[in-house]
Amino acid sequence: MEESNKISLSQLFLLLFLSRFFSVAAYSPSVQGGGDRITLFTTLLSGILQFLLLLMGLALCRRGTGNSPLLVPGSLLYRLQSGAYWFCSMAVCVYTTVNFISFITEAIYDHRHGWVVALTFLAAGSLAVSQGLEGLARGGGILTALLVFGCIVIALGLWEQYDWLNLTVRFLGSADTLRGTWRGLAMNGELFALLLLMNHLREPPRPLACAGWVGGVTVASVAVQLMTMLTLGAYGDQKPFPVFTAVTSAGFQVFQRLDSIFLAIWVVLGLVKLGVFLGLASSLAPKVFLRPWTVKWVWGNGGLAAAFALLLWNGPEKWQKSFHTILSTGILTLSGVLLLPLIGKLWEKGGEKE
Amino acid sequence: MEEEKRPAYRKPKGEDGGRLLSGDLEEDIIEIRRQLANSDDLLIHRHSTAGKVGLAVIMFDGLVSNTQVSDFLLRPVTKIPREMDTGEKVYRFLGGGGVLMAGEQKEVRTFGELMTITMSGFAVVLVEGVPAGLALGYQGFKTRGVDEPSSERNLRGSREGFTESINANMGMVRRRIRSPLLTIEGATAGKVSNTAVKIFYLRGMASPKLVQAVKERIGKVKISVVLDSGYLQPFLDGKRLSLFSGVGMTERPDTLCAKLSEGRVAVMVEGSPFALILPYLFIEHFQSLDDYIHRPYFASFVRLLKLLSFFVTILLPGYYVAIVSFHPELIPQGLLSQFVGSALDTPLPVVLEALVVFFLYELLREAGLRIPSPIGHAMGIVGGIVIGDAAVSAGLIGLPMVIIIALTAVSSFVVPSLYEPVTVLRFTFIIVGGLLGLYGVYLSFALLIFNLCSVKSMGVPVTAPISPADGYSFRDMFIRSGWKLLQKENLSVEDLPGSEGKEEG
Repeated sequence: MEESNKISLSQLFLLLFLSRFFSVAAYSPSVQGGGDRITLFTTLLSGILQFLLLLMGLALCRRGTGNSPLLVPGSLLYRLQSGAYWFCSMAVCVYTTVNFISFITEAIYDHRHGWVVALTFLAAGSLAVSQGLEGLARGGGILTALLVFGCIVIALGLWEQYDWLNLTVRFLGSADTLRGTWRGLAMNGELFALLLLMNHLREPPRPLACAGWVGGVTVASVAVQLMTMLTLGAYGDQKPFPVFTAVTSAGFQVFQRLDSIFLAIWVVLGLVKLGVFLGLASSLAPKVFLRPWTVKWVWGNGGLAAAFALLLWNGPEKWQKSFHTILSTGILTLSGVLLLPLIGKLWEKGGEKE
Repeated sequence: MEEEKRPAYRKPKGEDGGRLLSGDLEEDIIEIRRQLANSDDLLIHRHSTAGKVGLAVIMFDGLVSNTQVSDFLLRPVTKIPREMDTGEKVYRFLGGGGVLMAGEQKEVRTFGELMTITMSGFAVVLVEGVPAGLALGYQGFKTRGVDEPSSERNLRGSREGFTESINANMGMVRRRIRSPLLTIEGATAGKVSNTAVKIFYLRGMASPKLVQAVKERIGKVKISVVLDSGYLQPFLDGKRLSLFSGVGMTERPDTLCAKLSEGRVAVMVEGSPFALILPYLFIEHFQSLDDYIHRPYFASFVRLLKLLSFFVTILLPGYYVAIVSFHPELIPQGLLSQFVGSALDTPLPVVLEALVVFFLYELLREAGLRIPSPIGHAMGIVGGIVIGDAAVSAGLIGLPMVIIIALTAVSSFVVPSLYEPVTVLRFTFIIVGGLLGLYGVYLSFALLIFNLCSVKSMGVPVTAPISPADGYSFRDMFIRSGWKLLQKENLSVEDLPGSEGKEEG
């Protein structure tokens, strides 16, 4: 990601929107285990919480003329910070890959070919990252337009399947509401990705623009939830990939099935998400070792992510569940958005006093 | 006073142009013969004036017009007055004007300049005692006449196309842009061929940085022989590896003028009718001059048709192979028996069948290009009847595959400027679709988008103004708005979103 010029705010937000939308489309109640606790109401609340967290993170990252959660290069803390962010980015890469393989081998292909999917997916991600952030960002704009088109086609294809009797707005108890709200925030790695990518922007992100991005993702999440609910009702919570299950019942008289559109959306969104976080990981890794960036870091990190993803996917099921449990505590998001920038801010203030 | 009568001498740019002319006629002629190894097409006419001053006319057979040389050079030389009894006087008399008639008159002082200029159709007069030569333009080499461009046909609009003569091409551009802003700068490319290169731009519209960058890149060309503008294209393209180029080509003077008015730079090479245009955007492959002559609704329809054809030609074969091989459940019921039945009846797997059929198609297409016209009809019979019909009847390839290839082939010729990347992409998607199914097709498509978006042409993203998007530029992108809207603001490539020139302000 290093060799790039600046990109615009709208390009970055579109890219991160696509990345976040993968998580929305990939939502799996049986894997993520929040089926009982994620409702329309908690999704809306989660959006507000994410916006507030992002504002705090942006405030902590303001440093002099630049904006970055990372300190000035050279100090030991800079390397530790970079290492921590690298770990967070790689964790998201691995999680995304595992999610991706799970869906592809569950819904489309044979389970035995998971390693083929993993290797081709990571190779494609590495290739995408080697095109540079500008290529990714511009591509994100075009893919967003195709995504909107695809979603409209699917929504129209499901028109006859919508049953408004399935629409239930559940209000849970306070503990469950908090858990459901937290779950939406906990898995949002794009919050710290935004902070790390701020240096590549032509102008710093404004709060209103951030609100627009978070709001857009929230609205998209609500729309997808509504679509699934109206189509499948409570049955959707029993399925591993309820969004895909809903889409399989979509169709027109001529095309009959629209699964291929969902597969296209899934593949593209997965690639974008992987591209963003693999790009971050490959730009942070050389900072840890104080080496210049080259494209070899991209392929190296891609290979590492592939290895870990295959290890998790082929290993005992409890490994995946444990990994998911750790991530759903929000430790990555909180570290990336609050903890690491706070450490950097305190260190900087301590340095100023001296 | 005496200096003013001599033709203005322009010092050669770059290298020193070689060894200087000595002024000793005999010595200079020996050196010329030695450098050219007594080449058979070298003509040297020696004369002695009435004042007993020796002179020689150096030229190449086949490059000069014998009639013009005879009437406007040799005849006047025989009538030099006796009073001109020194070399200097004779040289000033001939070069002063009114004696030797020529469209172009220059002075040469080195052997290098003499060689280059005589090989461009000039005749050079060397006079005893003068370390310079008078070069007169009497070009008489045969060139192809102005024809309709074969690669860019339009329904309406001009029928003129560029030719191999760079001078004629310059004239065609100058005739269409009658403005002092039109600037044509000269350069050479090719260490051995010293091929003339012309750089066209409109002062005030093209960014000086863009012009300078083009000149620098041409200066870095180290090929020994440059025979076509295509030789320069890789040097003018960006560094990023991509199937798509940021350099456009046109054979039409009207198209070139339209591009120049948008702040672009054009490069033409002697011997090539194709002009290079930079920067060149991806969406321009789907636009033509006819769009601005037709009504907006029809022009927009044609553009969208071209865009659809592009996606059909690259994706349809791979999509078909993926669906039949991996996802037969996605085939509509009405077509299911046809597609799957055809796949089961043919001996080869669908992906191999597609590769073989498209390979045969490319073979026939390439053979059709090279074959002598008397036996061209046989190619149609062999290709269409023997291979197409017979192969299907024998059950070697399925009928759906023949329909797919026909549709793909027709679609590919709707946008001929993209034929090269389209051919490679088609094969790529077939292989990927056959190995990985729709997952592979979509993954490759996304990578294609990212790769295309990473390409820049002289600092301008080739996907502009699609991405980065600019709302106002959409008026002349996928659709063509009416002239009332188009005339409000001229498009300038430097003002496109994402352009480095715009960012630097």
